[in-house]
Amino acid sequence: MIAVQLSPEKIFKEVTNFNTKLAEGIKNLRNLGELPSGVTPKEEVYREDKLVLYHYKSPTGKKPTNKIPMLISYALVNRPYMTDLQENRSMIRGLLETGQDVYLIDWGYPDRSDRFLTMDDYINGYIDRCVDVLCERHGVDAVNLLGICQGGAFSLCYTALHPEKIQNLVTMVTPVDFQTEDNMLAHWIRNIDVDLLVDSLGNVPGDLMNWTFLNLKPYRLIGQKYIDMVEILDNPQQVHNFMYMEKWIFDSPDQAGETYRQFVNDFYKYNKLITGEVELGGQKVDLKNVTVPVLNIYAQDDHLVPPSASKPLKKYVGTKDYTELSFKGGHIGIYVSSSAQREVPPSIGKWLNERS
Amino acid sequence: MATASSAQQNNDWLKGQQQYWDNWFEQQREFFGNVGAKAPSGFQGADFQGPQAQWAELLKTWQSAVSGNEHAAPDMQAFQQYFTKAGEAYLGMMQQFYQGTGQAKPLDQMTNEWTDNLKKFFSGAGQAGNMGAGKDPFAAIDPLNFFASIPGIGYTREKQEQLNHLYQQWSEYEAKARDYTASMSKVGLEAVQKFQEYVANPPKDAAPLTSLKEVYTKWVDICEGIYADYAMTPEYTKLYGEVVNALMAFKKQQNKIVDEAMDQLNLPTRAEVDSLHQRMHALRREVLALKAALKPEKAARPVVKPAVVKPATVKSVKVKPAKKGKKK
Repeated sequence: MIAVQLSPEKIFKEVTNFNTKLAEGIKNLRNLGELPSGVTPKEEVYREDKLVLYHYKSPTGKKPTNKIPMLISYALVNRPYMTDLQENRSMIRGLLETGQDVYLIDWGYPDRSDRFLTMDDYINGYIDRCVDVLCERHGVDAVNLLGICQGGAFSLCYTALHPEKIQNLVTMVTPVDFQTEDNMLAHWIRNIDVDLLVDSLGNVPGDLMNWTFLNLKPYRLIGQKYIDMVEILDNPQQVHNFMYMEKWIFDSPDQAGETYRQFVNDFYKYNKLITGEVELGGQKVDLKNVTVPVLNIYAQDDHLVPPSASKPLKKYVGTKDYTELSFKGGHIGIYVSSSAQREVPPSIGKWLNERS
Repeated sequence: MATASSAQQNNDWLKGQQQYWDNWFEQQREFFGNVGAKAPSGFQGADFQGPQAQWAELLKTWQSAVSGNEHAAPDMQAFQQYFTKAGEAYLGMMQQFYQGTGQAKPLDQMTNEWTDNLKKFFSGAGQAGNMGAGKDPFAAIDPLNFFASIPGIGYTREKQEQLNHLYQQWSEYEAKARDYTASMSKVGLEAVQKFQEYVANPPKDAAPLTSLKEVYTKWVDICEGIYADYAMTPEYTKLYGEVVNALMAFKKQQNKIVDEAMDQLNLPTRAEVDSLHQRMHALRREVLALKAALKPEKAARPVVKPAVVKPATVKSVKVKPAKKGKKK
């Protein structure tokens, strides 16, 4: 077999087609208009510093049937509207349709005045006060907590420290064992002096975080992705979808320095979450204290949080009611792909409704 | 919504594109119709350097057409520049193959020429990364950090020390960055070699690459595979750590010197502001703790119990693969 089979005619045609699409695509890009950060109606119910707690309302008018409110704790890295990107790509809408009463913590954009916020401030402070707000509003003692990625690790810590305030815990693409062989980020961090990095930068810039993530697959994410983009430039809807994602990917808050220091050192570098050595507010985080029902969802093709990093959770939690959901897709696809819309929110809703 | 002005910008851009491609096709025809006979118009006399120079010139014109539109809004300029940068490898490959077809070169020759050019590029990058002391511009200024290693004396001794330290850290970062670049060029060379092997001996079950896009995709796949393996090695993680740490050490020293300058100008320094923030957070934590301590015990609420108590088992649910599941 001859590996490369090109003809002059094909090459001429391909070059011409490429250029035509590029030229046509400019029109679609210029007509794009505003790209909103989230699409489902919501109201602000609590605010503290940069944090805003939102309450979502179903656009179809469906009332919540689950009496236990659900609190979503997203990662500090990137913005939480990934869960509500577009009308037909919204995990939040999917959850509302299952009867959940959905609240979400928007961490905002930390600035230098937030540099000394610690993980204790985030977990025993912000998350705890948001849980209290929900308990007060709904007259309950415990909420359903859904943690995403780093927010999942925070949720595990919170549940271990405040088990009485959590009814059920859902973790999505959440790293638990940070030192598995296929975890590229964990490999890279081993020789980084994180203390020096935070001392030098204060807060860790979102752009630096993005650059790190792009370098996980540099040829694909920095080059090929934009060549592929030309193929869809003549399709307004696909351009729209592409740009929503592009906006989200690079809408990256800076990371509060002291929280970054502890998270990267304790979790990535020393894997303390599974050894029970993470300390918050003078208390050790013991995952055995997570005795509430746990639903752990991971993505099979996740290159940021490989399944091998998420699946060990069942070994470390103290619950007797542990369920795993394996989704065929990647770290982002689990929120935005059409298969995710069909499979993930309904599965979460069903699991919660059976336990609330 | 596009405005009249943006429509004009778009038209300008399209017009520029059209003119470029018309010109390009015309010159291609003229050039290949005259190979060995005479130089085409526009490439007369000393300017006529053959197809490679012609391509380089035309690619430059194209890049200028897409990225240098003076009427474009800043956001559009940024897009055009980014696209041009991101697509360089692909466009470069297009150039190589497209030109080759005009010269009726065999495909394997075109492929080899493209990979040879890549090899030259990566070899050059590697050599740049391995520059000896004699070729290092920094080393030429101050071989072995000679001046920077002399201790400061006199009234400004401490400031001299700070600046020497800053220079030494910059030097250290430059050296580490070169090591890192050299290692990445090895990845590039290995990818070229692997691609050449693929073209020479494709796997029996492999489908032929029938478009430039497929050739490019195969190239990216090979690069990613080699990079992914290398990026997990102790050698890479050591280099990565060293270059980041060296940059951060330089940055920290830079902050210190900037703070001293601010202090002399009677302006707040970063260190002062950081101290204030630290104290503010400490006070806030105390206030929150006091408020919590003063909060009256809440009345017991009826506990909402789970509707279903699950047996003490661990179960695993596999979601069926979606037919058209997209992966980012």
